[in-house]
Amino acid sequence: MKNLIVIPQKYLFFRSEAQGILRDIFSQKRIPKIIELDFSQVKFVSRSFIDEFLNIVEEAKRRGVTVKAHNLAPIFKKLKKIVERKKSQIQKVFAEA
Amino acid sequence: MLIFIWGNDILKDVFSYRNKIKSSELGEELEKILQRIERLKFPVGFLDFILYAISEIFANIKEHSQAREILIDLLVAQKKCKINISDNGIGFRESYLKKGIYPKDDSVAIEFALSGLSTKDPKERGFGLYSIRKLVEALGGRLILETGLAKSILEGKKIGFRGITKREGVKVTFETPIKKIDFYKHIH
Repeated sequence: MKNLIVIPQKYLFFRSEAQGILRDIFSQKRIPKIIELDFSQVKFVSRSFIDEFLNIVEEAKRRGVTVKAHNLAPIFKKLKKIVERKKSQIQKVFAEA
Repeated sequence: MLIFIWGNDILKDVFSYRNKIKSSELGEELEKILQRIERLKFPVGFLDFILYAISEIFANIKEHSQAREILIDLLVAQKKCKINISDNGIGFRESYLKKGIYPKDDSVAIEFALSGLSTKDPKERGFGLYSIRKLVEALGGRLILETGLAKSILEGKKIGFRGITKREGVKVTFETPIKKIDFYKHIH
């Protein structure tokens, strides 16, 4: 049962790469309640990747798994905040509609 | 065919790249481009802009275009940067129609794309192109989008449309001066 996963890529561009992380988490025979993802090798991420990554964190939470991300590159941290803020604004609009 | 040209003087760095790739090679090619661009010296924020813009355009191609081939043409000269990326996919309008969004023509489809409208799914929003628009505007550059029968040219806050001979897929061109930019201020 592995609760630390090191993300080996240097660049993460596509939504499919975030979906791959979710598959890796749930392909384990016994899935821990908390998964730590180590992004120390990752130098650059696209906005699309971050958007999908936030979706998979939410999906994992729905399935009872908390995903924590560590060692984020500065661009990852800053874009993540921006995308999180935008997503919550959009979801609020949809909830009110 | 891959062409890289390097200058010796850092201030006069010239990076020129032209290639035609299959859609299956997108990720690998993007990595090669980014690795080379990262070695160039840019004013503060400009490298983030280039990496962001190119990766977002590639992500759009992968996710929406159904393209078979992509043509990439990059030029980073002493004071100016020009990037053309075009694909032979289904174009903006067809991409929206497949998601249940109905732009009445290609011009409207371009407007949708530039406004951040991606799909009806609240989990998937399209602010990549919108942010590129804002960044190019902040740099005092020009952004040109061509798809189907429409071409849009954005300079400053002005957007102009003209009709073109039908173009398959999408072509994105942006030209900007190379200068300092507060990158995160313009990302949405």
